[in-house]
Amino acid sequence: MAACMRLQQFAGKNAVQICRRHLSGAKIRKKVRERNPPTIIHKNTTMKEWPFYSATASFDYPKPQGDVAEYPPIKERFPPGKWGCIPDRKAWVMYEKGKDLLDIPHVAERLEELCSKEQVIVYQLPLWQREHGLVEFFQYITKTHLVKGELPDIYGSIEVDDETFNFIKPLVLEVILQEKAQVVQYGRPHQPIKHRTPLQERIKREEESIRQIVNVIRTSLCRKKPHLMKLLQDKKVRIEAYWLRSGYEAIEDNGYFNTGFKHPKGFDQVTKALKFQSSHTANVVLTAEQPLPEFISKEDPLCTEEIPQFRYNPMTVGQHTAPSKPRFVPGYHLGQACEFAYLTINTPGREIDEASLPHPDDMKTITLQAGIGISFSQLLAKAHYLGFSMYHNLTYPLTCQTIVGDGRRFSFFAYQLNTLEQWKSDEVIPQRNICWALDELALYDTVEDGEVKGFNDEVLKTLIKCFLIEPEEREFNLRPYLPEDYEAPVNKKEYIAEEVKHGRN
Amino acid sequence: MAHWMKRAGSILPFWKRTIPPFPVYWKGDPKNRVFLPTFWMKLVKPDREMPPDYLQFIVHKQMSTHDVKNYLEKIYEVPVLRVRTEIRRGIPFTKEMWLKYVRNPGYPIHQRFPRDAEREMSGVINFTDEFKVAYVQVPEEVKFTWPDIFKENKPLMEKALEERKKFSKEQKRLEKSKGSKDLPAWFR
Repeated sequence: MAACMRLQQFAGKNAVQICRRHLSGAKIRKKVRERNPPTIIHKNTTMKEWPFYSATASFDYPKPQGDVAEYPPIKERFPPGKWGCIPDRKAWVMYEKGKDLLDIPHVAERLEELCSKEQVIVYQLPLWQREHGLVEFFQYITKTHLVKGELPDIYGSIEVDDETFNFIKPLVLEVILQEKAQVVQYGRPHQPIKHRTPLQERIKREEESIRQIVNVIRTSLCRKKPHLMKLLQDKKVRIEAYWLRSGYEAIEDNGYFNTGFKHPKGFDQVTKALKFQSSHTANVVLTAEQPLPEFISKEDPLCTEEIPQFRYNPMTVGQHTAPSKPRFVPGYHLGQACEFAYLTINTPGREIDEASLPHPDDMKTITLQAGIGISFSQLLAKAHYLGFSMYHNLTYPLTCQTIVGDGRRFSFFAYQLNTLEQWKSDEVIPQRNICWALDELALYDTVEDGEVKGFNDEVLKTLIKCFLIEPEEREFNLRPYLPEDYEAPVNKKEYIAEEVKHGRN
Repeated sequence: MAHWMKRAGSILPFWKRTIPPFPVYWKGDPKNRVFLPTFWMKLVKPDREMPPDYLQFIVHKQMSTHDVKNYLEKIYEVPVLRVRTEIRRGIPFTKEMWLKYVRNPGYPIHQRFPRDAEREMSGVINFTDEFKVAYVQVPEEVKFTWPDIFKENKPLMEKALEERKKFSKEQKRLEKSKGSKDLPAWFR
């Protein structure tokens, strides 16, 4: 208050107004300073630079040219490659993304780059589906041409000797009888059997009987075919893949129910394609160090055959979207020596109870769509581990064999992956993937009084043929998009140390 | 349930009411029979393009998939493969639409709402009730085609469409000239 009194004496009325607010002299001075801030000029800076922007930027004028005019190269409208309906600006974006991907040397880092860290909305595709009549849908999204009732010509050229067949047949019969007669007690011995339902018990039997049949065939053929020694065998293998599919531009959710989305869910704005993420667990998987031979050449007319145009919104067929990270899981870890597909065997029992299906032909269609989906997603994931991606197409076709069966009935598939460019329109890229499928065949009819009745020899022969096909060594580079220093895991001897160094796997 | 809500059932129209509880069956009683269920199903044109073996219905909200299947199989003798249901959000409507609906109850609210206005939600008073939609898959032998009910009235419809086109053209012209109202009409 003393300061106020002094101000009142010297400054008259103005000071009185301030004094009523009970402010000290220092605070008044502070307020005045805030209203009229003093201009601060540092030693290094000048008034020209700040707050005024200098008009003269550092700019090198082009040098005077000679007689010949030199222009920078004109940028073409589209980047190299076929782009179809994708507009030019977006095509350049995709092209540069692919270019940036090549600079990353390690496969794991590339996959991290491809599978964005954020979650995206995708169509989640379990490959065992109870829906009826999804074969055309699966054909379209995987871009496959289906050849029914046939297997490729390679299977015709292979013949099974009578010696080997007669050696294997009694062993297989023994396995079947053993599995039927066995009192199954799973888990620990003290655990009672009641914990399992009869359906679960049946599934266990099916899965294990198939594993035993595979073991029997493989071990008995090993002496004649040394490539079977090098195969890698696993059970309960996770297979997952992520891809885009074009052709859904026309779809708009403009129904009279207000869904509120102009584009369908899971729609990629850049490529105008839908995103799919498949997931599956295979019963038995065999992988090889070298790729299987291609079933037909790329220039065959079968590769450009028509496929069914199933362009309905997947929501209408019972598919659903969910946010998730894109994943590629081929069934092995990075750095595994056996990187190429050989054979997968799947049992449908875990997901599907055949008794509850409404239509009699449902099981046939379910196995067909599963066979297409499994072999496609498996090869797709493996291609990504070899350095290919949606930006870098396959330079050679990848092939695989799949079997769907429950120990009694078997259906055989052979698949050839020709393109990874499903996200471009079909008119621009005419190449299709091809799937050969044999109809469902029964290995035997029944087991009565300790005897197998109605045993089908041809089914066993085709089963053996799957093991007789030898993987081929190729002369060209199998991983063209990986750097030249990259050592294939087959040739590596100290790969574990290196992996540990980087802290992966 | 609050006591005053029990009365509310009698005010609602019959088709909107909840299903009365099924009488408890005691052993030895005669079999309970339902001759007129309060369930109903309305066949509608699909809002999205669908495969030919699919049908779309709007059904009573309390109907389950089993109810839908039994309803079609037992009463209409239509074989059914699979049923999928989902509950849709109510539809927003404006005051004008409501007035039209009150004067003419046949006026479908949910088909007329413009989509652009829906996103902005301009002039929305309220939402309609939620409703259940059932997708039914039938075998390929069953074929259903929508009949042409308005075969005779078609020219009238075409006239209406032409008028609408004209109207939309004028509207576009007016929208273009929104920013230049100072100018005379010739320069717009």
